[in-house]
Amino acid sequence: MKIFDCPILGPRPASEFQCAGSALAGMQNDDLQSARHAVYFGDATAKVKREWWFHRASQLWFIVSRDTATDSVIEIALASAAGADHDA
Amino acid sequence: MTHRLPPQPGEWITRDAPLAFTFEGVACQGFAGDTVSSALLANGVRVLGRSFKYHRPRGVLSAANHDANVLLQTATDLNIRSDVSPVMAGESYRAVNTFGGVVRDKARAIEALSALLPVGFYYKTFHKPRRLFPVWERMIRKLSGLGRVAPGFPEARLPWRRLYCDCLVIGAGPSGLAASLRLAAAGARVVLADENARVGGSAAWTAGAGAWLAAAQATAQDSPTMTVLTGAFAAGLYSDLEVPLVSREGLTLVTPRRLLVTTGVIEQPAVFRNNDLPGVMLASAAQRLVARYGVAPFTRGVMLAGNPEACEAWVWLLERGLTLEALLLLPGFTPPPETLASLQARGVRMVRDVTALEALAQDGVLAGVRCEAGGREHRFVCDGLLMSTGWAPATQLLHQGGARFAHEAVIDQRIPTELPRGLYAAGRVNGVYDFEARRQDGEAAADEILASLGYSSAGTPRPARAGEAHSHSRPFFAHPRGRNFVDFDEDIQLHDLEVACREGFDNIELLKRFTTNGMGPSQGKHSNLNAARWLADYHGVGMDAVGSTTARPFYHPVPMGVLAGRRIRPQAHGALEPQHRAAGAVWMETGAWLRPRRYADSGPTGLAEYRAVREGVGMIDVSTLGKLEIFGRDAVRLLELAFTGRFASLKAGRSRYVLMCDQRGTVVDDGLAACLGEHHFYLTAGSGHVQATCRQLTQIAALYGLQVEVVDRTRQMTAINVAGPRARMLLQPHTPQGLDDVAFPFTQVRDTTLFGLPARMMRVGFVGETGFEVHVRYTDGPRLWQALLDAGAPLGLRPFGVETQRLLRLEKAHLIVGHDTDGVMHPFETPLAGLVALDKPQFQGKAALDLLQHQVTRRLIGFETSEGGSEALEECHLIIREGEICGRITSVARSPVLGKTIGLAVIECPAGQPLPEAMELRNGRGQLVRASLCAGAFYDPANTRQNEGAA
Repeated sequence: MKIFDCPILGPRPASEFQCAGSALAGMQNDDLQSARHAVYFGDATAKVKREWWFHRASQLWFIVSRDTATDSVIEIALASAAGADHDA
Repeated sequence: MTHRLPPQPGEWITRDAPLAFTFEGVACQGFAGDTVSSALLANGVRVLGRSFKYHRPRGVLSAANHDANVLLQTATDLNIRSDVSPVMAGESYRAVNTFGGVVRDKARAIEALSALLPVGFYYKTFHKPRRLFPVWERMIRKLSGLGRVAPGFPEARLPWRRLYCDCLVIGAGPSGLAASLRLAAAGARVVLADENARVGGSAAWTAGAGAWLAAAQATAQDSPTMTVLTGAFAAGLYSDLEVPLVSREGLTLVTPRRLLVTTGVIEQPAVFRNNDLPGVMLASAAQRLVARYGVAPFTRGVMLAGNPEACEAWVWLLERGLTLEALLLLPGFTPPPETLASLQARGVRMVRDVTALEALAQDGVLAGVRCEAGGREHRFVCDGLLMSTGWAPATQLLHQGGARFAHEAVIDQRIPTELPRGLYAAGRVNGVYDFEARRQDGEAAADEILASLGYSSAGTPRPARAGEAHSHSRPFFAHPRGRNFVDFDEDIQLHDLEVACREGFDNIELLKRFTTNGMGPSQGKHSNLNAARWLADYHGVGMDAVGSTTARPFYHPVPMGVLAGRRIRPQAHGALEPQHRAAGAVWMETGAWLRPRRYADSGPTGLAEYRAVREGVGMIDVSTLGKLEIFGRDAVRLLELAFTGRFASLKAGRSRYVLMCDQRGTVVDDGLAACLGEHHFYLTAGSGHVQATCRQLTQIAALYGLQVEVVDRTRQMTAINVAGPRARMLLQPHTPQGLDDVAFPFTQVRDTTLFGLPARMMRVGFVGETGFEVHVRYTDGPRLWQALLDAGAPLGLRPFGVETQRLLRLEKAHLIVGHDTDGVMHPFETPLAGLVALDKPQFQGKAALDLLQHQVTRRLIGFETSEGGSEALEECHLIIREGEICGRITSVARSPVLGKTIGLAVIECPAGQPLPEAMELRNGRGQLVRASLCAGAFYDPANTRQNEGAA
């Protein structure tokens, strides 16, 4: 199983985490156009993605940089710390 | 047991633990530690199974878990690999795939028809005439397949477990064992796995390795950081180096940081006429039988030699008292000079450059060998013919890990040339053959792994790979009458490969599919390499040009029971479970929770419970409700972002019904938000959805950087809803809090005490009567329940279950999210549209809801029928309009108080169009039932009972 080398929790198996989609899209609440764009023209190319990941056991949210081309985790940060620059 | 040798050093059998079993009805003796095959050979049994296609007699070939022709069946189990499965005392074994026993298998007649059944015959025959196909089908079904499933087999669900370690080493031969010891000595956590019952691999029959092996085993046993898993094979290699190890105890999923593959090599047979007779076996099979089980596999042996190991095996077997008649050398092979001298000193009879070879049969087993060399014919009488002609590296896992290979001409073997990060190989699979060199290769790999993990390492250099061929490149002998088998599993002969190539299937992958070479239970472990060598010869190209077939998981068949694992589901138990049990609860599962559906003494439909709530007082355990406590400066902002409604105006002590939509605008949860202070809220959510709701709230908090804490108190609190016209009468004497409509109006919340217990009380109306939801500490739950039971007895209090609760709420036309709503239903399709404050600047789902408010195509409505209760309507029955389906029922029940059938339904009805006043519902018998629209609650539509209370 993939191991997330978490700076807060230490190495944890991926099964404890749950992906909640792109961290760049925010909540897509205020703008219908961007919401539609995310659905129909979402970026599906293989590259480094920033995503929301939830750790079930600790109830913590993380922003994870993940390279979908190599299926490797590059960086993990607490969402509250990383959240500022994603504020919609 | 006439074929037992004197005790061997390090043997696996326990000679003072004899055991009895039967094979094909014949009584046999063995020892604890024997495999079925070794015990049978010790009893002089030579025919152990029948081949798949021609039903030819077969015996031991490898004794290494690759004897796919010797599969056994017991009363409860089948596909037992005889060559490795421990023999069980008192067990009755039979060979699979025989008609009338392994000795007198009637299906052996098929072999006489073999000329009519050429390779690939099933692609061409049986198609015409079509009407005969069922006849063929019956026959083929009868003949094919191995073993018979015993329908009464015991259900064995084996557990899965996970292991995490620094390094997993697969294969506990000299290189793997040496590597593991080095890794463990440095303090790394090592898991060493081997498919055999004990570690050591070929060291057990390597000259001069005994002392090292004994010491290594002792060290491994004492090592605190090393876990040795024997009897466990690696079924495959998956992403992130995950390896499932399969054993009789179940599945172990290992995720190592580094993976070292020391799987060694698999000895390969030579191809000559009758090379499948019982008595013809791999030299390493004979060594296994002698070293592990003290069994003499033959009384007079002949050896076919094509590599240096043949000479070593010869000497080793002679030293153990076995009789060998002659050494037949494959064309072009000469033993190394020093070995040659030692063999000659022992007076070995040697036949060089054998050009023709066949094994001779008598009564279906090996009786002799005939060969030609230098124009002369030689005949030998023997009951053992050992093949030592070549090896196939066990590269399957390396392939699956993405390693690249090249054929190394000097060793005549595929060698890994490029290994992905984290994956290592050592030993013979890496082309290192000398015993000392294999240990060094293992230690060198261990040092590389240690360095990469940040341990200090000695930096042992890799030894040189073998400087000579260990496999003969053409171990084939054509014969005009065939029966020179390439694949024993599927009875594929040399001639079959020629036919396939003539028909155009001359690529390694096509050859495999057309002939089924390598598609049997041993997955080509004996046949793929020979087929590739033969094909290289056929095309006159090198082995790299021929390539190899793809080695996919599983490496070895994995039992279904292992794959299924144990079906483990979490189940949540509430604090009041013993109380419910004592009250005679009839249980139902709601998500992870077990809840009382109703109580046994309330009648089959729970009518007594219903009456108690409508006419007196009832109570229900609602502890499964999600309970979240929200603290912080931004608590209101969080609620406004997460839910559709407004909260800024909510004053302390008041609560509000809330609705949550996801980003597509679908209704996902509802509940009550109670304001306890300026920055303090208590939120109840749907029983099954609280974890998701909590996740949503914390994500929104993180996204907007809110100063807020969300605490999931679901399992810290017990909640009981006390409802009915006499609810106040029951509770008032036991709380200082006034419960009348002035002191405690509908929808308000109070922190107070009840029966002396700290309690948070919420005035609710889900079931349509005066109701108080009482939340207490988890541990206080049983005391509250008992206190209510005692105090309520004079008032006729009854506990009620989920079924009654659902009926009561249906009479009030309250929808249940996820029950009456589906995966795409948005609020504008429900009566909850008024809860959506679209003029809020931001909230989850707003963008979608902006759009969806104009796209209403269906509505959740209430309906009632005027018929006498024989409608037989159920959930998911359809609404029919002009013969077309236009909706479905989501909830339906017979209302005792109204005397009619009521329900909720989803009906197609675009926005702007009026809802149909009358409709037809089709029940399970296909009858149409007339129903009429009912707006609002069915019972007490003015809500006076819940808002003001009756009594």
